[in-house]
Amino acid sequence: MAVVVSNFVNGEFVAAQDYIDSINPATGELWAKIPNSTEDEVNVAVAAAKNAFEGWSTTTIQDRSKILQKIADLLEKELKEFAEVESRDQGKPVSLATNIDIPRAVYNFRFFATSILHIKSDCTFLDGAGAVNYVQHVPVGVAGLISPWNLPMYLVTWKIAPCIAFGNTCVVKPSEMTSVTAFMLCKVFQDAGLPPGVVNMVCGTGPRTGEVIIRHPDVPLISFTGSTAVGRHIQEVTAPNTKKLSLELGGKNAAIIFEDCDLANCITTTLRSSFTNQGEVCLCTSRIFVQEGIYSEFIQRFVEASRQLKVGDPTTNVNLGALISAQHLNKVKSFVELARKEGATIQCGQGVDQLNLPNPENKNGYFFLPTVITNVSDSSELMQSEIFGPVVCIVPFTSEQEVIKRANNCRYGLCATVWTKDLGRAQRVARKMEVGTVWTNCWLVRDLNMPFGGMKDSGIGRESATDSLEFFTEKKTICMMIGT
Amino acid sequence: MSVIKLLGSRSILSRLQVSRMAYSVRTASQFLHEKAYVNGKWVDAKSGKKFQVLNPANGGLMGSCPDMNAEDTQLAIQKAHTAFQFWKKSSVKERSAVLRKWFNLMMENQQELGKLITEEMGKPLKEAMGEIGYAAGFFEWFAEEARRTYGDIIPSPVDSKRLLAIKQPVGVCGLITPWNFPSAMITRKAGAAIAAGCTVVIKPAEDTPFSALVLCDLAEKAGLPPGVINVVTCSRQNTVEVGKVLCESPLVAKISFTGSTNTGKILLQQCANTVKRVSMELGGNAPFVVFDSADVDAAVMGAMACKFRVSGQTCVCANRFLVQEGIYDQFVQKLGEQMLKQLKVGDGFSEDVTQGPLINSKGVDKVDELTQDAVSRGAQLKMGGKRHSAGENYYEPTLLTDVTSEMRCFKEEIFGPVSAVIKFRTEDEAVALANASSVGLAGYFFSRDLSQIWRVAENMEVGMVAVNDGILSTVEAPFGGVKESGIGREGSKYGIDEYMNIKYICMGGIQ
Repeated sequence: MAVVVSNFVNGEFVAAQDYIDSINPATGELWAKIPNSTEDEVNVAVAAAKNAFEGWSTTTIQDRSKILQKIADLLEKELKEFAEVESRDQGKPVSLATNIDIPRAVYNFRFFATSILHIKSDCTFLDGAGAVNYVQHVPVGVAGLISPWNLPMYLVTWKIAPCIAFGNTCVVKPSEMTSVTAFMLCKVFQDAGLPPGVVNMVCGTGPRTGEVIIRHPDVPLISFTGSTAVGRHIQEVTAPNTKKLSLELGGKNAAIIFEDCDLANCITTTLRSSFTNQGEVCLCTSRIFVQEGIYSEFIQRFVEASRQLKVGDPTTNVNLGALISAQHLNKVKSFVELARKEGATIQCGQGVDQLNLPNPENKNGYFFLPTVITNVSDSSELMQSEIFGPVVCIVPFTSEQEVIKRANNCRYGLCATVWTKDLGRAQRVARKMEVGTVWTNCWLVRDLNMPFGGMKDSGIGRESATDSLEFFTEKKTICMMIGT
Repeated sequence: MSVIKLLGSRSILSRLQVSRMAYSVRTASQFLHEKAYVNGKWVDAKSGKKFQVLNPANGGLMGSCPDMNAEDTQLAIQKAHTAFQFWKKSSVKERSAVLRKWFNLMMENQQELGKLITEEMGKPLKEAMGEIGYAAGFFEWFAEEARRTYGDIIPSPVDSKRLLAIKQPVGVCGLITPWNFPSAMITRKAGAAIAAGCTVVIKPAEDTPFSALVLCDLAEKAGLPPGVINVVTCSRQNTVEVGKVLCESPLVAKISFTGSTNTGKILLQQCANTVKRVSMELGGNAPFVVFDSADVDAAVMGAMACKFRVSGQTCVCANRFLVQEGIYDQFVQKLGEQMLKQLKVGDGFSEDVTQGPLINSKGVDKVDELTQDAVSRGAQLKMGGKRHSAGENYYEPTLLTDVTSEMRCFKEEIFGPVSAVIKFRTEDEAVALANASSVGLAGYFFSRDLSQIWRVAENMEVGMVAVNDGILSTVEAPFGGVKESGIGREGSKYGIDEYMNIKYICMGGIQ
């Protein structure tokens, strides 16, 4: 009995012409059918969004805020259901979805519902000329929002909330691998009284559905989270239309661990930063630089702790669920194969330890053990390419200068963690890291008021209360001549 | 375990899940048509307005349809009228072939069409698929009847004349149909009309437009030309004006309606001005009589089948159980046992459910009102008597005994899963009670006394009598009522005549 997802256009659920299969990663079984929307179907959605823009962009901030709060309330009420479905669609543990993913989705709506009530802008006086200049932020139009499969609700709401809070309408394309909770979210929009056409959802693959959205002349804003390769493609095809782009792309994040760190804490947190969500977060640590003096001890304790992590059925009490798909599982496996070929050492995990899946339903699931690799060169693909799975490389370093250079020797620049009790050193190193966010002595402590985003191939733009305002509105200077 | 079962029927995903589960051959989208059908095209209302259709099992949105109005209806009538000019000239063999293909297509897609019914109006999937078989049967029957519309050559009283009577199709027919058999209520009329050579404009109930629309898709595939079948969908708000246009249009030759007696009366009035042909299938208040001479076990089984089909929402459901005092206690006890044993309330898509939801909460309100009225007047509540926890459109199977003719459930059509049992002493009393109604559609009785059977069958004031049986509908037999239950007969060899005129041709001047 497959769940059949519909598109959501102009406030109504609409059946599509073609459907593709969506698999439950924990069982390898088909569990949902997702529309694979055609150009025509996307065009209708864009037209609906365009139509709704006039009304929505002139709805008062207070009224928009109320609706977003209502959405947050309704979503929060159904938290358990959303978490269970998210887990089934994505493979992550239900506990993770329940504690992190869905609460954050709720908070995304509340955050922007309230932040829009406190916007102030700049103003200057040109005394001589007798003019007052002020800035007004105005909504832009229809935004194309394309979200990935790793944190489905978390990331799609992180785009939708600011987009509509700031007065735009949108056409959303969630990943075809994880569209079911977005589908349920549309029901919440309906029940909250969000006017028809403000949010439209057309599901489908990138090449078939996403491509139409990014190329559409009536979609001036594109916010995309996903791979660097697709990000590059989006830049290429949108250049002729001079579209505004917000791109949150891949990462190959480093953890830099000095001898004077709080080692116990560091290991606990770095374990989390390496393997949470099966390593499928753009912010996950994948290169661990450990200062020589504590290198052996770190390896021993880190590997032991990795072996304690439970991998299995996401509906049970586990630390890791299943990877998203068979294809992705093979990709992650191939990196470990490469490690073997290059003569690196696999300390634990894939090929070394046994996967234990007591539930026969999981025998075809895409499970992968947390894997630690040492003895690998900085220039190896293992240290340069994004694996996006529960695989980390640990390498030793000697000095501060050296590790900064080596950590920055990477085309990505999303985030980094720095472990040291010396605050001066923490600041020095953080200052030099070519990344958008540095966490010292912690990981993924997020204040949504602070700019979030990547440098280099990790993306363009920042997201936060003020940065999202910049992206989702156009800043207009209005000069009023009032006389001297 | 299916995720829907896991999350429960109140979950968002359940409510969103229109019945598109486990499609093997074709997907739901190919059967769900969210546009009306006029002159062979899928169209929207001119106003662009739409109305929503909900699944009564869980309130979920099934889809939406054009909300058409008088203007849209006028256009459909015109197209049907134009189409009639050539359809009336088609050969009976051609019409028969199309109807036969249409029957085949329905049977090939029996499950998918059944799913539409369950989703639109709640009856269990097994019953819905049964309805499709029954509905398709009308296309098969009228494919055969189409070729047998014989007339007469009448022996002439004078040499110079020859007298003939031929049958000709009446013209454009307006078919106004209800939600309880969303497919069969259409095919029994459209099959006859189209076989006769008429064209039709159908206005299905706003609760169940999709079963009507899918028939148009199949009609196209069967080769029915544009304009012969047209379906005008509209919300409750526009129903009155659309019905009025059909009744008052001089281009419409006939109205066939199945629905409530009250609405039937209004439509009759509206048809008077153009002196239309009419067929009316209106309300019933079926007596189900069990005599001392009956096989009580058989009567109980018959009662179950008769009462609880479509959760009691058919015009021929047993409405009043009249049970003779000699076997009264036995019957009541056994009926109660069977109700507990056989009936399971829930979503019509669930495996073992026998009682789906009622069509909407207003329906539930009415059933509850009649139940409470009976209880307040002294009836005994043996089971049920309240809403069912499965949802706001569900009612518990209910057994009321010691019912009297003063109670509303005796006088009004219950249209719900409530067995109302009345005790009687003599055969005369039973027949009097049975006939104490302004309507007379179906009547049932159980007896093993041959003379009693003939007496009661002849004395019961109904259009259809079932003796020692709880189910009487079949395409071969004339279906219809007397008194205020209606005018005309559907199915049987008489069914096609409803859509035909007798034309007497007098050929004179023969030497």
